[in-house]
Amino acid sequence: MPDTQTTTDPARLGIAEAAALIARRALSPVELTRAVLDRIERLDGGLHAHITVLADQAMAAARAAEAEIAAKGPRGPLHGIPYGLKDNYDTAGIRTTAASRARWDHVPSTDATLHARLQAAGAILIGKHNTWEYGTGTGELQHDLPIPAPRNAWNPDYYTAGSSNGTGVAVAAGFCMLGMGSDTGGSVRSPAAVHGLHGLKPTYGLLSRAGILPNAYTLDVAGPLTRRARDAAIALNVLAGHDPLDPTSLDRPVADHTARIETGIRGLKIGILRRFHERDFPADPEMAAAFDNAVMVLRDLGAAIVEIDVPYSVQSYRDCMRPISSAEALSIHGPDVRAKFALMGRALQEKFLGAAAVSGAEYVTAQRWRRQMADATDSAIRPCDAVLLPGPMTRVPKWSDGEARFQEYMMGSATCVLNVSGHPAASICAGFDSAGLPLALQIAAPYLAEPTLLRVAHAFEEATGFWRRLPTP
Amino acid sequence: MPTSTKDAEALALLLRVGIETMDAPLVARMVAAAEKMRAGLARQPQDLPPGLEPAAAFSVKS
Repeated sequence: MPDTQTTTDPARLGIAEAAALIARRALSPVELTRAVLDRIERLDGGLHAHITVLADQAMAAARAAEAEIAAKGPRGPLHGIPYGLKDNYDTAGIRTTAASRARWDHVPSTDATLHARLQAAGAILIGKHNTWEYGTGTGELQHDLPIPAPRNAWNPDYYTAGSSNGTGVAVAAGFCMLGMGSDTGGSVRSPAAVHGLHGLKPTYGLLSRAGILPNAYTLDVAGPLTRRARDAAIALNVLAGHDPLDPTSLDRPVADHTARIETGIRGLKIGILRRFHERDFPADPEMAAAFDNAVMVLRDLGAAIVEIDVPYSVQSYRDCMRPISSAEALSIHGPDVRAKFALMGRALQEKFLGAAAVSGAEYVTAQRWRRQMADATDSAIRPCDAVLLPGPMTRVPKWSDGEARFQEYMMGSATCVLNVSGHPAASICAGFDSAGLPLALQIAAPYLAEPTLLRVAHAFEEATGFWRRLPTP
Repeated sequence: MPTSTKDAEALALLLRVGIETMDAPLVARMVAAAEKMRAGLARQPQDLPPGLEPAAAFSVKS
């Protein structure tokens, strides 16, 4: 049975709690790193969150962090904090496979920018996480990859979504406190949703993608998976900032994402976007009830609730996005398609085959349509401080439900809306279904309003306490 | 040899991405994948205004 956070296992702490303990020398990075490695040793054989575990390297880094903190104090709140990376983030000298036989022996010579920033902050790299192949998919059963699919940390009989599925498992299971994923159509938020985590897709351009295996240039966003919004805010303060290695990286001052997170949401204008789960898709009643409950919670916290709408269905957003993501992926990975097609799993092969059917004119039309959609979406979101909308609109499937049900879960989701528009959005835990699996919703915000988005999410998380429940053991 | 127009089109698409094959199961998968993609493309709007340029479609404008 899942339980609320009463554990004394330091691996089950969030970043904020662990950082506070480290700062006052009540918890050492060595103790913390050993605790997460013990959990990996004990549990990951059945969960398959990792492709590579870096136990020796992590312990060495933890000892160095402990010595530095003892001598000079922590560099910041991530000093000594365990983190993991989806295995599409380049790590110099460490194999980076993207869960593909086509890249199984790939060892980069440089670090992804975000990994380098976490290293500079003194965080401890624990391992590289399992993922859908090349970090992409639409819910296909990817059973033909070189590593088994991750199992849900709440109940291994249940689905893990994707594509940052190993990262979701790892954060939920206490294998790290910060997991870095990537999100083209929902790949951070969907694995966060099935695990009751906070999964943040920031504004397009806020976080560097340099050194992350690209999927679709104009849609890809890197993002953190954490236990809660406060932890995401701490991470974002380290991760955000201009990177000349990423041509889409925004060059502007970085906000302090933690400064006002405790100030509550009284008087904030929160838009309620119902069309996706009330008109476009037959949502599960338990998800719809969680949505209505969330509206009441936000109202009780003092927010001004306003109903908003957009002129496009969730299917239209998906129809717009699919040729863009497919064609860009084929352009990016054409050399691999030509040289290594036979090494790829069936789902990835199907994606590239479908991409071949997109003409140049159709790709441009999709981008023009997208501009219309982004403008309309912005017109709905911009007048609000934040917007509540659904993420996945059905309950977490069981593995035994089969591929069609997985695709329904992934395609019956409004995560893609915010990739098309580029707005920031987070998946938040909105309760638990009758099987004990998490239910999730999204909070979106105007462009670059991550501090407000995180403030709303934090207020909701503190009011409901859902984030405190942890999978056992 | 292709046995239908669809097969011939599929072979052409495979060639376009650099896969030279006459493997019948792969051609059949290409046919299916193309049909699925074309079903979505058929829902693209056909009347977008000429002034609607794609340049700002994915960049943040604030």
